[in-house]
Amino acid sequence: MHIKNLGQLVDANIEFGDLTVFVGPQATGKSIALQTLKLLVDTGQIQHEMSDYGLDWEGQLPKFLDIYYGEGMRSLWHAEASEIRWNGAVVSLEQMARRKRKRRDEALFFIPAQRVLALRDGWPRRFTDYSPGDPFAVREFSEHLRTLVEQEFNANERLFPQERRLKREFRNLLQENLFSDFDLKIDRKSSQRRLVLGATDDSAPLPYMVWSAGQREFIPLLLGMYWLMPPAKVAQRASIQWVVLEELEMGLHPRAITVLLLMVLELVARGYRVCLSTHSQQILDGIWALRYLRDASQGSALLLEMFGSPKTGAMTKLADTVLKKKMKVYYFDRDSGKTLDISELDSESELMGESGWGGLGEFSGRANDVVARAVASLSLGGVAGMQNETV
Amino acid sequence: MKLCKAAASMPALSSACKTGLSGLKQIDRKRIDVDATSRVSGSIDLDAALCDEMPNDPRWDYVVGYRHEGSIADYLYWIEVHPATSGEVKSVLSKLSWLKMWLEGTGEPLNGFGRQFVWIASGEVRLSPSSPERKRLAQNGILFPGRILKIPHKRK
Repeated sequence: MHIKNLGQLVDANIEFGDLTVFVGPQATGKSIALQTLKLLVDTGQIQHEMSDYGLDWEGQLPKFLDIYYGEGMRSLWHAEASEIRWNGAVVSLEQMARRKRKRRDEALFFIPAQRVLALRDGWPRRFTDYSPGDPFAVREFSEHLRTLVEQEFNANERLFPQERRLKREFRNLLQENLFSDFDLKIDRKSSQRRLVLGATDDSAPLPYMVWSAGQREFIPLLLGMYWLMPPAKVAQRASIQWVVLEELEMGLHPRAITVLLLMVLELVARGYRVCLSTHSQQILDGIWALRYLRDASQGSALLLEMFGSPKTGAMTKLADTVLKKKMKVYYFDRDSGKTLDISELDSESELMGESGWGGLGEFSGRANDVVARAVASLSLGGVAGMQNETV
Repeated sequence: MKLCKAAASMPALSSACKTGLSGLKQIDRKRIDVDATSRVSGSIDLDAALCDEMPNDPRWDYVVGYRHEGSIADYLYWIEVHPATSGEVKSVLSKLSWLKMWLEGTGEPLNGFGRQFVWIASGEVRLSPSSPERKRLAQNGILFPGRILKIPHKRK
């Protein structure tokens, strides 16, 4: 995917791997790039879904952009300068807005950064519950969650832990690192269905309003994972080939991030092409380690050790598969508006964007350096102990 | 005070101090990038110089004297060139313990200089910036610049 002059993106040239990670400061175009990927992969599905829900852009690109990317986003496109290429061919957004493509099944599942909005009063919102100016990705994700809990779970059923959902190892890791003594279930208050966290003892269930920020972030993410890992013995859900997951780390403790990153690797092992955006150095630490584990004799065992995962047959198979996959990392540079391929994650690179891992490692590096300098001078009894060092 | 002048008073190092970076092995000179070569006052291959006297000790590799802008005394960069993996951290820390003990003993004439301990990676760096090992090095006063140590004209 090659994007020129779209919003903040001056020149974003992305070659996707099996797992692709976007890093960079706020407002550098990571989300625009991911939403554009969705638009390119699922053009027909998006157009028809918008029409089905009564969203009419009247064949006009500015209106289409406002509906798809969100209100006010028509300003992204500059008729004379903007260009999008997909697999080498120029894609005309004007033409896309004028003419509907053939309806196709969805191929890219998008888990947006605003996923916390997908639940209201503890139940997933309908596509039509949103304002017309809300981004398509948020509305669609919300609709998927609603379909999932209404069609695949029965009333009063426990959603987590669920024997038919996720590998046993993941259920245990989630229980240990996220849920503790709680489970997630469907509850009824009067005639209203809602998701609640229930203690394993008989105490009253906890409704959405008292969930922690991390729980509010995580539950939609868990349901998204359920969508992508159906209970039947199939690796992927129907037509889905791509997964976009924005900022998986939001609101979560590093231990929870560790489990979720391992779940992301499970998606990769299942054959999905996964794209993440992140501000978490921990995630790049993991990707960096995978580079070295690939060629190591005990790579799979070491990978599982890094994630604190049991070395069962299923998890070893997952690790074996993941280590054969291609990982790419791109830095979105604010100053130039360009993307930089930093997949090597070489901390010795001449390129600041790469050596500082897209800015995520800069502070740690500086903290290490100032402490090293401070301690070296302390061992001399402080600066005053140095021999006539300064004039 | 200059590194070579102080070393001249020490029996084991009396003839070990060389001009510029020539005290370092050829392969290791390129690992140091200096803003002004004329400010490098001298360098010593400590490992080689003390080999006969302390053959079984975990000796540190080098010391380089550099006169930063605004200083009248040399600032000493105590440099260890070593593979950069987490398993080697223990070994480098053990060498640092040796160096500190040596500086408080026979190396005492070099102990009063301003200084920085530095571990330069001899190959690929396999220590993540956020790793506890990197923190451990920092806590012990070891700067880890990666494969190249850049010595600035003016000290930070």
